[in-house]
Amino acid sequence: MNRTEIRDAIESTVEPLSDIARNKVWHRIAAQLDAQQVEPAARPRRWQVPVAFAAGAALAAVCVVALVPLRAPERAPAPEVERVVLSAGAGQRAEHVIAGSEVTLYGPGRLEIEDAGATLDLALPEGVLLARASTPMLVRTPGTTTEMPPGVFAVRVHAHSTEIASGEERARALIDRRDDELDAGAPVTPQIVQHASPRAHESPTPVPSPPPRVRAPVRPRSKAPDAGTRERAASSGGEAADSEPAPTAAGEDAAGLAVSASELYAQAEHALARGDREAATRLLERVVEVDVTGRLAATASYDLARLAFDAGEHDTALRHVERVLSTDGEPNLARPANTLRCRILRATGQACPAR
Amino acid sequence: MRPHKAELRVVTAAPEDEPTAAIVERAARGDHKAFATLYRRHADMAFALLTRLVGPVSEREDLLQEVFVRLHRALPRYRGNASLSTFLYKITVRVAYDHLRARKRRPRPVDVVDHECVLSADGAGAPRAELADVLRFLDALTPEQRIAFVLREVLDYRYPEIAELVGCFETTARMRVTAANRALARLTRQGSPR
Repeated sequence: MNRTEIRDAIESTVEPLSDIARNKVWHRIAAQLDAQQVEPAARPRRWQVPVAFAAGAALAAVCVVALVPLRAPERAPAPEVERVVLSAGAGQRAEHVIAGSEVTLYGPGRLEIEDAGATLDLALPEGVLLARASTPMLVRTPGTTTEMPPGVFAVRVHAHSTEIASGEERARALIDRRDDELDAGAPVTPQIVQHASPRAHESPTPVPSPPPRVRAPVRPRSKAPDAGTRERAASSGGEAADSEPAPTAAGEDAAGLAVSASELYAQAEHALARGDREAATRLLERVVEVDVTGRLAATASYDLARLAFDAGEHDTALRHVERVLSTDGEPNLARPANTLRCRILRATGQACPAR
Repeated sequence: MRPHKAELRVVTAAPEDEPTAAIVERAARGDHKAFATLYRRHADMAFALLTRLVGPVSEREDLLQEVFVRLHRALPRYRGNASLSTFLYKITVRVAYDHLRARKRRPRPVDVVDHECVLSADGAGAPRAELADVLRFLDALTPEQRIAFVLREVLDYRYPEIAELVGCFETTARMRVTAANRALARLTRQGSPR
């Protein structure tokens, strides 16, 4: 099987859309669009607005007066809260998707998640949490409550202290009624803000960031199904638990924080996709700093070179491309990097010596 | 049958020679007739791209529907700096990607039943066994690799174009294609997957 055969085979499957199918699909599209379309409300007359408001208020008052005495002994029914409990032993991880957010717990640890509607409430007494939040999250760890905005972040609870790293946006940490704010755009790995628990120390003072650590390669993640589950314990061998290499001790750091370079790279791609070259450049430069394995750093350097070349910044582009060529992080990049180097040199009127 | 008749009339109502920009503008303002014209002009292209990306599966009509529903939602954001075809291609690639990703989560064997009609419709297509091999190979790739591979090797897109369509860096696109080609080479070395 070669590329030509593959191409021919794929092309042989392309069939024209029949008129019947085309109209059938259109009918369904039109029905869907009609269903989505909000009917414009009839414009009320001026006098109708206050009258309707007054009538509504009066009706509400009557209902309150009539129902409150009857309801008084009972508590108002609380909104149904979905609660999920994840637990993972040493060397395991548990994953869950809830309300469009992905959470991964690296053991040993336990994570309780409550979906209360607008916010997800997470209690992490122990373990490493890596989250890609699509809604705001309230993360409760021993001695610390942190409000995390949507985005990527990591939290590690270790010996009564909490380490939080925010991937893209500001996070507000409330420690014993003291507000603290994480840096905006702080990458996950090198600028971890550590909050000592009041239980462990008298005054919670941020300690200097630990140096970048060697990270494990990012593993492909499989999401655990969450439909209809009200409470679930994902213990060893459970549905949402994996028995992959243990992120314990030093590995724990790696597992919880390894995603940083690749996450930063993904953010850079998103930034580029929305046309924000400045942010993309900034994030790629962070990838180069953070990625100690060299592979993503080389890729990011090549991308930086391309961006700089496209912007006419030839010196910067050359610097980046030379960095790609001087390392052997990504062998696949050698050829395109050489080509790009020649293009840059030619653009600056120089000859391109063979390397 | 009345609603069907009405829909058919709408689909064929718009004039052929009206420029796309004007139709897009009307469709973005909520004119269903204009949107029907866009659908009629671009449905074949989107359907063909979907077939190449996800294979001749039975869900293609659902995916086509999803493409145009998303297009309808996205039209107010369309600024006209790229052609509508490119804009629609991006949406189609995204829909195909979502479908492939969902399919990966619920793996199933190569959809031979779905392919029956294509495979046995006439003798002009690729032989059945070969096509099954190709589909199996494509199913073994990640959705990202598969899309990049098809765009590059089947549709002859250049890497910057793939990056633009997929919304990634050129390097990423290049690596995905390289990975797919490596998988193909591995498969060739091992012999037929059958």
